[in-house]
Amino acid sequence: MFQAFGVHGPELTPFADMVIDVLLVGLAFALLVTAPRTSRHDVYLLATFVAAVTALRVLLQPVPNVQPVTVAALLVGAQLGARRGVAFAVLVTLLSNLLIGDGWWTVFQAFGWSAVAILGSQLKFGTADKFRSGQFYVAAICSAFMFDFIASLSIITSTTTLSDFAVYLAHGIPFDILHALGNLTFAVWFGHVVFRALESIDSLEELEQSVVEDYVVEG
Amino acid sequence: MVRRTVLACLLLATLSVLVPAQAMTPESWKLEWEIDLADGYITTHPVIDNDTVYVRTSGFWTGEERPQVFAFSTEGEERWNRTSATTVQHDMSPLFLIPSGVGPCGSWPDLMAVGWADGTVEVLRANDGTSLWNRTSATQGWGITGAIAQDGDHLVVPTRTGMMRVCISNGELDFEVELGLGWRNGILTTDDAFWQGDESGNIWKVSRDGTSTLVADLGGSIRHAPIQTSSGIFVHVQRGATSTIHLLNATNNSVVTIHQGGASPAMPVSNERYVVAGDSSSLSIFDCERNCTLVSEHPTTTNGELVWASAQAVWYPVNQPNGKWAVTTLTENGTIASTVNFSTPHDGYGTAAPSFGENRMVMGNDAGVLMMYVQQRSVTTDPQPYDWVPFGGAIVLISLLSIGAYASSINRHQWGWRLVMLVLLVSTLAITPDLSSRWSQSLIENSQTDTSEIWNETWPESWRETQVVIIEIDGEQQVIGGLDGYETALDLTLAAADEASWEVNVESTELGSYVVSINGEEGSGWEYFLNGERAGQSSDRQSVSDSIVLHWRLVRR
Repeated sequence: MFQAFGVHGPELTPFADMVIDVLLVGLAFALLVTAPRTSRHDVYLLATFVAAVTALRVLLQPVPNVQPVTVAALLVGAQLGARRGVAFAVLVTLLSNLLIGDGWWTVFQAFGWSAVAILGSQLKFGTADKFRSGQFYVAAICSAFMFDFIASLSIITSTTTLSDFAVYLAHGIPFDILHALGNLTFAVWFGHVVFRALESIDSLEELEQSVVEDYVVEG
Repeated sequence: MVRRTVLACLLLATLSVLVPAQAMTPESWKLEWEIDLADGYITTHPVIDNDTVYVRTSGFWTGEERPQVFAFSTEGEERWNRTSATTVQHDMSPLFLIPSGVGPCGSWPDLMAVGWADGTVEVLRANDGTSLWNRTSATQGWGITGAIAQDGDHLVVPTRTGMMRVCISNGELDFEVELGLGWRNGILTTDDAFWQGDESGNIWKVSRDGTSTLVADLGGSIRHAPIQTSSGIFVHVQRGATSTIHLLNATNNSVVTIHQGGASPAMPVSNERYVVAGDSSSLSIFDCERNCTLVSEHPTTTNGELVWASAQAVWYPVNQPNGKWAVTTLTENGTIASTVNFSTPHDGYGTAAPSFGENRMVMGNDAGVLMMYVQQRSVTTDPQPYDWVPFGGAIVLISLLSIGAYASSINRHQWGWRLVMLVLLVSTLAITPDLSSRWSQSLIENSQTDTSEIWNETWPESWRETQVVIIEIDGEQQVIGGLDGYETALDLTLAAADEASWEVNVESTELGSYVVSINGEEGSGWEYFLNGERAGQSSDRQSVSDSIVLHWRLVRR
């Protein structure tokens, strides 16, 4: 249970904590279940990726604001579409926070990485053979600031003024820059490799397209 | 092109080796200022804490003069002094600085504990010398002369007739026990008990509930705090014209005599492996990883305090008519590498060890003159071990950059970028804590408003231009003002808490100390504001000015 050192959002009761976790898990599964055709291989691959990124986040937790999940969410969103990207973001947030600390901020982190996954789904970054690395690197940098802003919303209380929030954000700028640099490092080292690996899973949009095409052909 | 790149990289790497990250030359000392404390001797070491030097005087008081405790800035300006009008003589109990803290029996700001020869133990606020509390103990000719020790949130005081344990925050007595009569006898604190010697050569063990046990009778007089070593408890006993050194087995209370020395023993000191003892004949080094066997001796006369200035160098006053101070440096195996005399304008009899702060050393002797020395980079006195971590890190990073440059030069641009990014990330991680702290500080300094903008007209006028602390719980405010001299928000908070008898619970994390609760209220957390502006870092790292309103607010959801 969260013990307040400073102000990090409401102190949740175990029941409220559980309700939030259940709602987030429900959202993730609802998004996955809506897939019309998902092969067992794809499910295994996605689950493995969730587990690996979760483990990496836990492993890197002592390093201040170096967040492997951000680049991973960007890539999953780009390759597998917004729905699987959001499901991925929610699951990784929940699982890793169960290990490093769950609370009110989990909701905002899940939303933050979901937003990053949606950004990825809109940008696409080309194909494995024609990977638009420049666009990907810019997105990796921008997504750090986007995520940090959304996660920072968790500190807002009834007494927080706009000026207070601005001061809070200003104090965090060095760590935002660190997040962006970490993203860029992950992107340069592993971006293309992971992008290629994820290409073997058909995105929901591609699956839906193929279903439509099948009906058209059969019709 | 490739050759040029490689050559450039090699040149960079070579330069990095030739320009080390820190100077390797040791330093010497230069007298910066001296202050004559008039009547009285300096018989116990001064204390340096950041920018303040504390010192006390002692002597045989016959006229109007009385012993005093002084606080000076490191530039030699007097900040405060405290005189005891009732003390008798022999004020030789070392000053004991207590950093601010909290514990089950309360919280306290930075304090200075003073044991007076009239039997009073007095705790002063370190910033202004005002008395926080005092407690008397029995006297027989004199009162407290030994070294006070800290045991968590309590002080353990060697009194003339025994020992007492008191709460630091309010002086409340935990226990007081009668042992043998004491003189300059300090206290050893171990996990399970306190150990103290007396003027009859007895060693006493006192448990934390105040139960005392006579552990050994060594005869003679024990005039120092026993020393815990890996071979047993080390005690130097004074016996007329000689002295003996003993090891006490704390498990079965057996005693072994390990050495016979000269008269008037000094107070031995330990650096974990080696114990250094002194007397009127010699300075002796004992290796306590080998049953405290005598390793080496140096002929000298030292009868007071000794101090480790580093892992291998011991400073001590030579107690003779024209006595100087001496520095004995040990080799890795405990033998004496060198002994160098250190002369001052006021050489003579002395028993007080020097004290060391950052680039500073302060000392005094029976002449009663306090002398401040600063380090100068020239003469070798004490070799410091070189920290290879920054150097090694720089070599690794430069090597990675070099490999990246080479990779780029042979058209492996992707690898070049990867290595450059890795170096950039690691470098940024290394500077982020410092950068973040400075950034937050600059934000606060730029945004801090004047206290006049949030001044409450109901507050006393005497609080203007002082440090004011507000604690707000559910809209109700408690205000403490008129505070002065506190340097961090946490110190200021603890000082205010002390004034108002608030319980403050602080928890340390790697990102700083956080106030978890005040008066038992946790809520969702405590947030604080400086002159109305939200602070951006933990309160122990947040510096505060001399005119500030610090506002703590409990947040509930």
